[in-house]
Amino acid sequence: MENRLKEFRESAGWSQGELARRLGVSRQTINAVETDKYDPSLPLALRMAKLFACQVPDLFIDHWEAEVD
Amino acid sequence: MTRRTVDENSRKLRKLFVQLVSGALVGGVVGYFGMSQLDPKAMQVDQILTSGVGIIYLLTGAIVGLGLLSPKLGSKFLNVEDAEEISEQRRVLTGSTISMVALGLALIALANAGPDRAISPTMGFLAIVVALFVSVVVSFRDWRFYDEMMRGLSRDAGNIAFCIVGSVILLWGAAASIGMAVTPTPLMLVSLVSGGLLLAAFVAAGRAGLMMPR
Repeated sequence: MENRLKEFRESAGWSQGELARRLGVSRQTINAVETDKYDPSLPLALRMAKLFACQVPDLFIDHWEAEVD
Repeated sequence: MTRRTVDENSRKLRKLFVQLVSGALVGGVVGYFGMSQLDPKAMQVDQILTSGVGIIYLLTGAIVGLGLLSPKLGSKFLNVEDAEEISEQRRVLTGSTISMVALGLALIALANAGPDRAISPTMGFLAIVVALFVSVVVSFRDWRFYDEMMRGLSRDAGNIAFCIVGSVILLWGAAASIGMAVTPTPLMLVSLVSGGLLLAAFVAAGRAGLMMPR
């Protein structure tokens, strides 16, 4: 899933290692999310949003549109 | 593309080149000398296969172990950002090293066990039992240190391994039952399962982008 994690992280001035430490995950996980190879679980996405003081949809972009009846 | 991005891409390409060349060289040399020590001319095909898989396990474990002993050196050939990342992953990497080395040695021991050889058949079998026990204990211990992606990757590798090994055994067994293929020997099955697990782990890691140069 497309996301803006790298943008948010760089704005905060954090390295991947620093963000990983704050979230309690490995650097590989941060790298995999930033390169769209891994979609985090809902709890991790919520923690990321809380850390950057934003909403989950600000971080993760879903292009799905509901069908209008 | 900014100057910084170009420099970063060049650094990654250089590192990938070093990893590929050193991996091929070390793998080739160790594989060649390892197999020559085992006297392949006196071995059956299934013994060579099992020994080969064992050497790959042993070599992979040794490379990760070397990286753990010297993180600075390890960061040059392991796919990590820097030496600090190896230290962060020390507990998990230590477990992987122990499991890989144990299984590698056990596979080589089993493949070279025989009534008139240095390793008795019972010792060969016991080596596999001990290696399996060590791997299970290490897996249970390491599970606590895995984050959510590593746990998902581990489950993914298990699924892929089942698909690879299951499909090959199903087709091979079916073909052998009607005389279209040679009957798999016990050692061929051991090679297939252990090699399938290793292959599945690489496929799962690749799908999660862990094989991309960093």
